[in-house]
Amino acid sequence: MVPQTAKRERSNQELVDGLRAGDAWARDALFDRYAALVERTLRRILGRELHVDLADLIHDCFVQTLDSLKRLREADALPGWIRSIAVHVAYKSIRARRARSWLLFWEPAAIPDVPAGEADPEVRDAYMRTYAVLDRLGADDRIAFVLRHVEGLELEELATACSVSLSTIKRRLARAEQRFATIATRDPVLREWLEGGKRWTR
Amino acid sequence: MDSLNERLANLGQAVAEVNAPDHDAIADARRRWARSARRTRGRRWAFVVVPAFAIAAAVIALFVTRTADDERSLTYSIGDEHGERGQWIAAREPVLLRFSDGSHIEVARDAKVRVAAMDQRGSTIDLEQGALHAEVLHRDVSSWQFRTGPYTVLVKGTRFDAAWDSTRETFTLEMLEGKVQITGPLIQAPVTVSAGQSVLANVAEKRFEIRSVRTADAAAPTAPVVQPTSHEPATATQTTPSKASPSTSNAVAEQTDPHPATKVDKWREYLAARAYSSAITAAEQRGFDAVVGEATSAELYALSDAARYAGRLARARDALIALRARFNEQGKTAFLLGRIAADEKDAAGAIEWFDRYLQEQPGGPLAETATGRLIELYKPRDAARAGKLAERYLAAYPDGSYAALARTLVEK
Repeated sequence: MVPQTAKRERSNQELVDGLRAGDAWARDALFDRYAALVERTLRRILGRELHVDLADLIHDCFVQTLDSLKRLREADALPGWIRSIAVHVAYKSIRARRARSWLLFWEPAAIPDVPAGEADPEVRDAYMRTYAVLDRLGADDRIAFVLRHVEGLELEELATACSVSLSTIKRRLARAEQRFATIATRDPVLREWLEGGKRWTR
Repeated sequence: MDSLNERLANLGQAVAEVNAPDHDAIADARRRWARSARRTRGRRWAFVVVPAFAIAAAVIALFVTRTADDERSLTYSIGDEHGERGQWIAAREPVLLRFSDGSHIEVARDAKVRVAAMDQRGSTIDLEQGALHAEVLHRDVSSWQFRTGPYTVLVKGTRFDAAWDSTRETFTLEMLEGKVQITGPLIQAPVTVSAGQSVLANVAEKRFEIRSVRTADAAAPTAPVVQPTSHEPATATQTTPSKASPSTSNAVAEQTDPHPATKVDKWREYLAARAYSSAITAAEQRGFDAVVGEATSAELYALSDAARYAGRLARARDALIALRARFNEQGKTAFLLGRIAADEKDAAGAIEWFDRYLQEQPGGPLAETATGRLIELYKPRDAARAGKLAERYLAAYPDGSYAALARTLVEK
């Protein structure tokens, strides 16, 4: 049976009310509306690492969203709330992978799996090298860098996503950029992007 | 914005363009989300009953505890269907078992397996006959067992191919990544086998050998040959360094293979032993075009499977294209090509091949899955087309694996 109101876009308030009431349509709508945001946030922070089960992490985000919904005060803050949960899940995934890397038993592949696409091979090369540099940053710095420069968040959004104050995120971002630039300039391909040349001026 | 920030933004934008959405992951997460909804509803009902019936409370508490344990336990799917603990799976076609911790097992054609046990740490898999390719995700707590014939393979996180031929009492294992421990007859202590090594055990002939193989996926091996004696427990660490040059893969393979075959037949030998990566590498050394030009239809299917298990999707595609060109094998080959394209995130290619399958075998055994995959592929690209497919799907398969997804499109 199709709910009468399913044909129009429900507001976040209706969605949150439906979730709190345990309505099945609300669960489906939550996923439909925010799956792309969650997937993109996770994918961009983590890159396409082999052995990361992205589907599992996406699912985790929605489970945590539902579990923590009682702490959400403003329904309109739902998108930011979900993104901050995705950031937290990505953070835990990075930390878990780094903990595993201390075990000699099995180190998951550190090289990101570059998606086969229509992108210019030079850009794909830059993609791989960028994530190789990001692997050398701390998890907090990596997240701040990616959300700012790959996802394109404004500083206020970035602070909300990372659940820190504006001044903290500014300091963190400055540190991440400095560290990234220092490492990247040792890489011949990324140096070209950072020091100018045909690529970055395109 | 200063110049460094501008340049970082340009780089970030380029990175964002390369990093395309993973629609398969979203679809997979959607299925898990739908399943977890059913479990949540079940728990709410329990919370109403418990306070009302004091005597029943203990029983229900026990039930809830057990349910909670079950929920912590891994779950798995067989293709797109929910898998049950203890269920035997006889694979007429290659089947993918996907576990909730991210591990997965590809069961080869004609193999028979069972997920005998599962808990939060891992699973026990019985391989009664045939071959499988396993990719077990390592977690701190993970513990998996593969029981095949008289041998048990203990795993924490790794990638390997294993096979058991009950008629010839032959066990083979090829390590692609990580390490495993093997226990069973002909060895006195558990044997550790690492990436780049393979095991051949023949119980009838009382033979247990660890060979070094060079595969495209494995790290450079040390080329050890271990043949344990009754005085010497076998371990992979008790190896002697190879005299072969590490730069010549043929030399490594020939020196370490105690039963050298002609170079022409090597890929067939590896294929028969279910050493998938080695089979593809050997076929490439022979000349892959020549191999697919001379292989039989059954061998081409086997090569395609082997290439897919070894992660060599381009070779899998070559074998399937050869099947279509040389043997006019339609239908299933189109479906498999669609799946490969989808694995490669080539949505347009996947759509073309799944469509082709439905044209070639409209009522075929894979029609439901092909239609479901098309719905997933079309959904973010062409909502109208996805909606029409969803209607068609629901009319034919109202309880199918993709019915929930199809309903979300029809109800909009």
